[in-house]
Amino acid sequence: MNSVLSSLGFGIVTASTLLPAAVGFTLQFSATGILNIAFGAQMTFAAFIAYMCTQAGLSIWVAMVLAGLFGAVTSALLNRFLLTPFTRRGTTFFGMVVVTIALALLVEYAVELTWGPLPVSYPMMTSGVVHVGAMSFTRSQLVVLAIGVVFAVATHALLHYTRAGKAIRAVADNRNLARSSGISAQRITDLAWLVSGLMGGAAGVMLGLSLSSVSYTMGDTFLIEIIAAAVLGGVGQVYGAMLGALVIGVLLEESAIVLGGAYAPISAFAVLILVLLIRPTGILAGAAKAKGVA
Amino acid sequence: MRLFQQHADTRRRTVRPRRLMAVVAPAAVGALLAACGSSNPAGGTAQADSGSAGGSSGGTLNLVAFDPFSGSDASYGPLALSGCYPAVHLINAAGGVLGHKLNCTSVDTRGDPQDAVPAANALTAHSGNVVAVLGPSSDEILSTINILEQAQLPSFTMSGDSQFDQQTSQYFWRLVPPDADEGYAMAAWATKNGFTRAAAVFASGSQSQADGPSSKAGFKALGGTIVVNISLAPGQPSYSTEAAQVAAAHPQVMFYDAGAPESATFLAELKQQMGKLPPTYVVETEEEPGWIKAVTGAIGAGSLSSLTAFEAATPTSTQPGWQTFSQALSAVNSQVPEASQYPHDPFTLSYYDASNLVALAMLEAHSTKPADFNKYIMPLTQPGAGKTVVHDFAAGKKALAEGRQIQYVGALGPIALDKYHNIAAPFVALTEGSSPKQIGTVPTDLMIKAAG
Repeated sequence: MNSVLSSLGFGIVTASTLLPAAVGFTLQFSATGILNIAFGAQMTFAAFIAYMCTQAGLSIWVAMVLAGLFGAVTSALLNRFLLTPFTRRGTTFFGMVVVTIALALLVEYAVELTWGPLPVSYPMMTSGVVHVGAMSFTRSQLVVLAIGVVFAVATHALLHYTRAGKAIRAVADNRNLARSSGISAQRITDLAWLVSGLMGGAAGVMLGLSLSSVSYTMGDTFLIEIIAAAVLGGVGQVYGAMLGALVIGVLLEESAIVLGGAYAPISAFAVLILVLLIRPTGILAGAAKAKGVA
Repeated sequence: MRLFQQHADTRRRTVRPRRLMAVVAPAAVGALLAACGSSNPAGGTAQADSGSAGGSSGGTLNLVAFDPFSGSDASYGPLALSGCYPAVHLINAAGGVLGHKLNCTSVDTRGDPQDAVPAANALTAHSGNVVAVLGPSSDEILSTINILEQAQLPSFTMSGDSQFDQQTSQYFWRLVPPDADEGYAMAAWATKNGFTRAAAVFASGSQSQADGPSSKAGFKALGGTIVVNISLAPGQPSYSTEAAQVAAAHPQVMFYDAGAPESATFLAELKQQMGKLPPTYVVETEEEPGWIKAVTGAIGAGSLSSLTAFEAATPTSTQPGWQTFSQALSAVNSQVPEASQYPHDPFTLSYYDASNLVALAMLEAHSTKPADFNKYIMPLTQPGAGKTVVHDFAAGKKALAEGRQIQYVGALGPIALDKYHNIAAPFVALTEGSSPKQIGTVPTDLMIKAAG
């Protein structure tokens, strides 16, 4: 029982890293209908920007903020100047997926060319373990957990208590109706990509902290978990993405106890498939239906 | 009507340039690709270097490092070249082979068995000047070795995969010991140090398929107990659960083999949970500079003292073959990044000796065709009455020119190959780090007992 609870704690930490990534990924989809396969590569790029900042002597926390800002700006620019022109020309959904796959490869190779193929690390945090009942957390895990909670609360506050957030929800629900209601859909879309890029950039740094290393392929492998969390919760549904992140994160760790580490990734996706068989739109129905892709 | 006509005219003027671009652009790209392809006979990512000045591309013979130069195992490729460059430097300085200069080139397999197949096909399709392959590695050997064999290219693999312990291809050569022996060495050393409780942590996938089972089986055969058996799936965002399982089992020692990214994560988490790492036994893969750098960044240089590495014994610095190699490595310092890592690296030494064996075999066969000279490689390694022992290419070339039979004893020392073209070698224990120091020799009797 102790090991199950212990793994639950680790799963919550994993979920904390997954949460901002899954929410950011989902925000992009809900705002524009684009399934951005380059999201993982963008996270990786931001993680390396943070590494560069730490090498320049900045603390990891300042570096995380800068990486988040970098992610925000590049994300908004990519959408405005690369992806939007494609959608305006009527590129199909799957055509856009191919475009983002190509973008992911370009970003990945750019990162590899710049920083090399070998993993690097952020400066090590002070060691030490904090016990909470049967669960134990290292100091860096506690910080990651706290940041994940902050992102969850901030996302909720943004979507429900700010005009911008409500506008994002309106655009996600029905872009044309939102436009005819006087909402500048393009500006709101830019804002959504700005916010999602910020979350993706921060998630990249959080992932680097969790892994204790940053490599140019780390975003690729993590993207699978991000998509699983987003789909599980309901494609385009932000709260669903949060729930999906928690489920996937905990499943990955708990299944390592039950099935062994080699089978942990399989179990998470097996559960995803089971849920989708029962509820095809995900746990929380969302914009997928409106976008006609689920 | 006029407006429509004007619109139609505008459309034609607009469409024509687009159609022109639609024709020109692919043609330009095709021309560019053709130009790149014709300058790269190996068909993949190539880094051509002669190892010395003056080699002409028309008569140049290529030794191709067919290994990962990118991806998580990106250190394998430079490892192969670190042995090739010094050998080729000396070979060319001694006048080359049958009027030809030698050249070290590379093909990046990216460490992916699927990506490696087209790379192997391209290599064999343009193999006119290729005399031997330095590779493949464990990452891509299963998907490519048959392609290389069909092309009749002698391949000196760095894979210790057990599947090849009794292989039958005449073109397959392995100058690094089987991975299973690394596992037996770990088990034997743990027993020698009085350990009876071990954790076994190995990556899932091909990397640990030999040393993992042999370390566990060997330790049990020597009376030890495996208290926890963990399989690490690469690419996971966390190994906290696995680290907690190891910590909870309180092992006296840990047998370990996994790639750099997952090792950085797992060992960092294990260190945080246990306070410090238990004595950890690792294999040659974990001695590569990339692995050491990744793990040092995660756990700190001080924690590396918990790690002990095992590798095949290499000659001491007083051995003439090694001395020649060491001097040659210094001479090609500018072509081998972080050259200080390689003087005692068994992979480097194996590729240095492989390059020399290929060159000497060509001289013996009086032919640069692999199908002609391949059968001369084995005899060059075997002792025999009346044979002259040579320690480098120049001495071998001179002896052959004088009509003598030779035994090549190079950087690795005497090379004992079994009938399956696999090398048999004793093992040593080393400290882990950028400048490993030998701690001792693994008792051979315990290794034999562990192997059953």
